[in-house]
Amino acid sequence: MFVSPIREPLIQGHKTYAQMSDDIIGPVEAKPTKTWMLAVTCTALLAITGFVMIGLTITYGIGLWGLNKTIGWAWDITNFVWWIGIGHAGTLISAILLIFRQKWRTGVNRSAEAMTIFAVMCAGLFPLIHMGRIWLAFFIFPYPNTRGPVWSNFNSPLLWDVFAISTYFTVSLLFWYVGLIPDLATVRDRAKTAFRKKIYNVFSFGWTGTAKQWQRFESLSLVLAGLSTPLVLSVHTIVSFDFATSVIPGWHTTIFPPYFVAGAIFSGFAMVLTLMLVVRKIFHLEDYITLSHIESMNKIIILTGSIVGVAYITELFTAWYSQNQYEQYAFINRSMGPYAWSYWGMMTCNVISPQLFWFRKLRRSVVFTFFMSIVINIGMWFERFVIIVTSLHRDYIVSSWSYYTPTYVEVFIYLGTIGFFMTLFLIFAKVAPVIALAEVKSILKSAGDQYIGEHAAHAHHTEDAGHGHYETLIKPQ
Amino acid sequence: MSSTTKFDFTSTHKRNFIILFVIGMMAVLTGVFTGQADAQKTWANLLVNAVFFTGLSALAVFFLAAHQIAFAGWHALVKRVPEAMTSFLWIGAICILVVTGGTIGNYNNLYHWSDTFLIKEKVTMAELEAYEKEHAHGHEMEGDHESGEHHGEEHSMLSNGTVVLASAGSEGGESGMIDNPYYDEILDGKSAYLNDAFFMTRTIIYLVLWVFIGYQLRRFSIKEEETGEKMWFQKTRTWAAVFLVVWAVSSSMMAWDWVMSLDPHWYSTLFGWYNFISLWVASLSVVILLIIYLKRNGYMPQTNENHLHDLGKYIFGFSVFWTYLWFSQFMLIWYGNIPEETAWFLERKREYNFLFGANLAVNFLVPFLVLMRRDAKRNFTVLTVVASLLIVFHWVDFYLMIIPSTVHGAAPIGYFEIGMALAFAGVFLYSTFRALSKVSLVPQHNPFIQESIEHHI
Amino acid sequence: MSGKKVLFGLFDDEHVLLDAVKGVRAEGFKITEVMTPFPVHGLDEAMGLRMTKLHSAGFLFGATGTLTALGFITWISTVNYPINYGGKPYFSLPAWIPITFELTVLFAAVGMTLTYLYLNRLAPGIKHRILDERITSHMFAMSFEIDADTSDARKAEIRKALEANGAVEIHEQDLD
Repeated sequence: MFVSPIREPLIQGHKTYAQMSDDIIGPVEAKPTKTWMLAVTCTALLAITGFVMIGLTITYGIGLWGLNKTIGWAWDITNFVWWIGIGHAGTLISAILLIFRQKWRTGVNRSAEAMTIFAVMCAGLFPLIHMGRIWLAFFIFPYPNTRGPVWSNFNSPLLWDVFAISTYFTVSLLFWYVGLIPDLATVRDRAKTAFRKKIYNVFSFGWTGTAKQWQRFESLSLVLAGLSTPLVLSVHTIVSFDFATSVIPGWHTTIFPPYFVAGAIFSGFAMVLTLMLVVRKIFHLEDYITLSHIESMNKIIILTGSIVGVAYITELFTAWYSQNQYEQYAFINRSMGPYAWSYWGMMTCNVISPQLFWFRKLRRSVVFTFFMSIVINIGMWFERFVIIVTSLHRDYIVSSWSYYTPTYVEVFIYLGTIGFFMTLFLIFAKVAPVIALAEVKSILKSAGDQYIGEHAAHAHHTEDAGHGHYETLIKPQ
Repeated sequence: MSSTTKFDFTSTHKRNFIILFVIGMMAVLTGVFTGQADAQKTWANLLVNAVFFTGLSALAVFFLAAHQIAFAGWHALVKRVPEAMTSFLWIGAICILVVTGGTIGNYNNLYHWSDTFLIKEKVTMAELEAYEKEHAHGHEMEGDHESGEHHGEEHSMLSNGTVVLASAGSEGGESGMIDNPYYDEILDGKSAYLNDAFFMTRTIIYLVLWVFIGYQLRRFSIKEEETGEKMWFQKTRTWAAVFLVVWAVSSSMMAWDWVMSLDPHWYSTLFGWYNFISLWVASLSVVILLIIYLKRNGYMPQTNENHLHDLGKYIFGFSVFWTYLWFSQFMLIWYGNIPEETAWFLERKREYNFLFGANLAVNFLVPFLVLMRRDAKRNFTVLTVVASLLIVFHWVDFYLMIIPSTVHGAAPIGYFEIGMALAFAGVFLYSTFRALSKVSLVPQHNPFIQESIEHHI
Repeated sequence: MSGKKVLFGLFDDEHVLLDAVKGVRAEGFKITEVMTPFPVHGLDEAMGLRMTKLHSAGFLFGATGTLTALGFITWISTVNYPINYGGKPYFSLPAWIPITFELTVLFAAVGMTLTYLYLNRLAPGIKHRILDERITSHMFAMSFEIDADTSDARKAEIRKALEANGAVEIHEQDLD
């Protein structure tokens, strides 16, 4: 297959297939390093703290939180939306970019999918603990019962959420695991001990890699991608419906569905970058997660960040344009009320800062990208906080206006989920290949640096002798 | 690289497009002279087609810009088609300027907010009398039912042509100023944005930017073809990025200005993106039809099912996305059930129930069910049918957004409306085919051309 | 089971393998199986495999999900226990689209994945014969089923065809 000389290689270091297996599975086979042990210990401790606080909440009730009559949703739902949003990047990379044939996704999709699953797990915790009586959580499912039977309310966006999140979790898990099976088989076949072989055979489901298996594999991947694409849109859409179906100023607005989705992908990419830049460093995967990958992800950050920015402005403008005093007040209050700090924090982190990625130098700077990924994650947390708390804290009756501050319980539950997320990710990175090995191998011939780009061993595109010239065009510095 | 053939814009083509235009114009003129279409209806239909066809052309610029920025290799072989479609942009821009300028110059009443009498809190008796006289005898006042929701009584009286002086006169006072019974507080509040001067300025800015950048992208592409120099590719990238930034803002604003402000009390934050995607699906469908036409006539031999498969996936995917936006907008307004918001949909359901349903059914179900299969996306006949339906029904989508806000009472699509659309189509096709004939259909020096030729999915 | 054997050649490049598959088949040999470490574009066509119908199964599962959701919610909300929620009609179709959509996707994805696992004979604990441990890493295998009765001449023919088409190693294994 011909590859235009102006494309950058996505696999560096003149790899062979055998080397790729060594590089990517090596860390799985090696003994855990001290750094890894230390990291897992820290994150696990954080997670345990969070779970202790969740235990307290369940024991004593959500009176331990800073919620009050006016502000009934705050950090809990903010965290829920934030985590769900982060999960979206995994599905975007593995599904939407698969459909758009973006080869660079193969370097990061495996970790991003894992991240999706762990993020959804963290997200799911919050509505459950917010219920107060978590042992009655099964009430949310429609099942025949002796109370009428009174079914769950199918007109309620909160019930839609139940279906959306559980479907999303299931489908993401399937997608991730189906892709993981062949790579786990590679781990199995490289294993030195019988025990290890046995374990990995169980997890690889006995994969052998026959032509028919691969044919079905590709068909399934494509259909799952086709299903996941509208699914990922629907999930954050339904999360946005939780707000937008109400008539609360600041929540009831039609742009919410696509704007939430764009915001979700935006924050998700930031988290993928945070994780991948660390993974890349620790496992020495610079040849597989190249600057070109980072640049591509940063471009998506500009795109989604700008979509989010346009949505903010649209909301702000329409609030004024509506000439509805409640709409207008909601936005005046956001930008100048007691929570103005969060509004301007959100604007700075999400709208202004990603625009810095218009500079190619910054897009390709690892340090700057890492810094920005954190900034964006903070910004997107602020966004949900702004939407939820600011819209609620001053309702129609002035006497019920209120101000919300989180308690230490809420803060530690939030930090705990971050610890939980990181712990799961670290364990995953130790027991399974963090890069989709089979998929990266399949692009070697069209994206390896010995085949394309300036260091290509032989140019199989004789017509365009001037391809070096393109390089200078695309890389101005 | 083999085929460098140019498209031959024959006299038969020219004649056919001119005939199309003439037939359309005859239908329009018949409508006007028989009174089937009054001035308001004519202007309103002009707006529908101006927005729709300009949109098709503007989205062709978007097609080029987006693919350029995304390093899309496959599209190199087909990019001449959207490039040619951009040639209509300046004509569409003129049409938009004529219609919007028509309101500003008081030749028509499409944009109800442009009536400055409505935003005067106090008026003199003489002004009021003059105003009522004009509206009692003149054309039907626009948007009256709309404001009627807030100022029910006054306006219902106005529509009957009854004078409301009695209530207004009592507060006369010495200054001679009385409360304006037609005063619309909401319009007054919006007047900083919705006023003639600012509106026209914005309109001109969007149009000039689109036409200019569209022209640049086309020019660079031709230069690249003629000189073979690589610098044009990089220049195209720069301008494509500029266009995307411009588009990010102007696409929503054009929809608010040209379409949403026809109902100046109504607002929906999603409206801009909804318009964008509706035009995008239609524009992609036009690209598909043009490619199939060219292929059937022996041009573009290297463009094959693989390229059309990709375009087919686009209209499949974006039709689903359009449906998603349609549903999001409709469902949230239906669910919230706030009268100011539901009025917009109720009006469409009341008078245009069939079209309202058909719009959703055709634009969603047809591409969804038909194009789900791989074979369908690679079959030229199937694609032709689906793309044609999508063009027609996205036009209907715009008809439904514009006509109920401007022509009150049912205005079913008849020979007049079809004629106007055909006349526009004639000009659009003439301009596009003419542009196609100007330069080789295969961009030989595009760095992605070989990828595109070997494209296989 | 006794006597069943497999003769296979290993290749180290997918393009060589692809040509080999075409070459060997053109010479009239019947390939039993080809195993690769990653999906090779065009391999199924070269081997003459039928297109999988897996996606059709997906469509059927999806349609089942749609009907299940719509039918179930309609029955509950209009027949079994109608409740007025916020003045909306009992049959509130727009409000049911989200759940209907989710169940469509859920049924399609789960149903298809299970079908896939079944067709590919994949499950936790299943043990399939592994011809060579490098096949999941960097080698490409083309195998031929033979048995104890297969003549040496026939084996030699296959070996020759494999060698001529670029196999780097050729092995024989008993299948018991």
